[in-house]
Amino acid sequence: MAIQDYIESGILEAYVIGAASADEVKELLYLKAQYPEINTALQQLEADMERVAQHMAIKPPPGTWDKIEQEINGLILREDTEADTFEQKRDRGDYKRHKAGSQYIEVEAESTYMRLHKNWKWVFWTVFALAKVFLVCSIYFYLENRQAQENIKELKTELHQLKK
Amino acid sequence: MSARLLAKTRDDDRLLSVRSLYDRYGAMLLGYLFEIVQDKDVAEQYLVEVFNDAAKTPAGYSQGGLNTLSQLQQLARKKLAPYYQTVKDCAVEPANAGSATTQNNKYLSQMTPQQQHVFCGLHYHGKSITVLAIELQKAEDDIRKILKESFTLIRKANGHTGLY
Repeated sequence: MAIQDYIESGILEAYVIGAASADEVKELLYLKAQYPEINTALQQLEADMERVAQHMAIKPPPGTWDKIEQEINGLILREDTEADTFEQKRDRGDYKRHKAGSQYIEVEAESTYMRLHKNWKWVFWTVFALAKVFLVCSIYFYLENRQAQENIKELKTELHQLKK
Repeated sequence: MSARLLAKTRDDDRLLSVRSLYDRYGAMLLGYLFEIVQDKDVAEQYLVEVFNDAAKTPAGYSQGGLNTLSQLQQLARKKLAPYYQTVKDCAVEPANAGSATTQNNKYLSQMTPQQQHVFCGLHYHGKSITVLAIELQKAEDDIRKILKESFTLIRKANGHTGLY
């Protein structure tokens, strides 16, 4: 297609007015880089649109900028707060790893270790000590029981001999 | 320089960038929004929202592609998407006199009803070329041609020739 035909097709106008499809935009940006006349035509169309906008312009009321500024300051504050909170959590180690460029924070850690509160240490020590006590007791009573069984067995043998 | 100071400088620059956009395009954008919503308070409310959105990426409005005004108008069209269904089609016909976008618009008043329908549909009502082609029972290429004719009239109204 000849460039002049392309310019006359109305695609440039559709682009400036925001009605061009994604493929048309892609093609236009490519041709714009290749052909200066397309760039010139686009600049003129944009100037036309700006003149239309200037003709219909309405001066904003005095407090409008204050509203915008207030909203932007709120936005900046939210962003800063979110950034600070993230950094604090990262410093505390709440986030294990955060891949660069990723929008997601890895919540499930890959480590095979488990983090527990320090109070659990005393619970584990108590359970461990009790287990040892029970083990010793078990062995003691087992041996006592075995000794008693042997004694009974001996007494039965003696009783049996006495009866004879 | 500390990270906090850098962030503060960045935030100040962002606010200044938006203020610069507001000073240059605020009135034009308010006029554009008012032509669609026909209510100054509602138009101002949308203006605040558009500049808040622009504040998220103010640097993006001074880079290649579309010019800044067209980008801001596209942002406004996105914001107005839910509003379009309630806006009447614009045409300088007795039945529609006084409808959205026709009042005091010297550019629109020079267009034929069909050219107005296409230009308004795309520029003020966020319609696509496909939708307009169905509405007017024409090929999409014909809609682009009609749009081009509208731009030629705009240029003539500005005292320029239709040639690029």
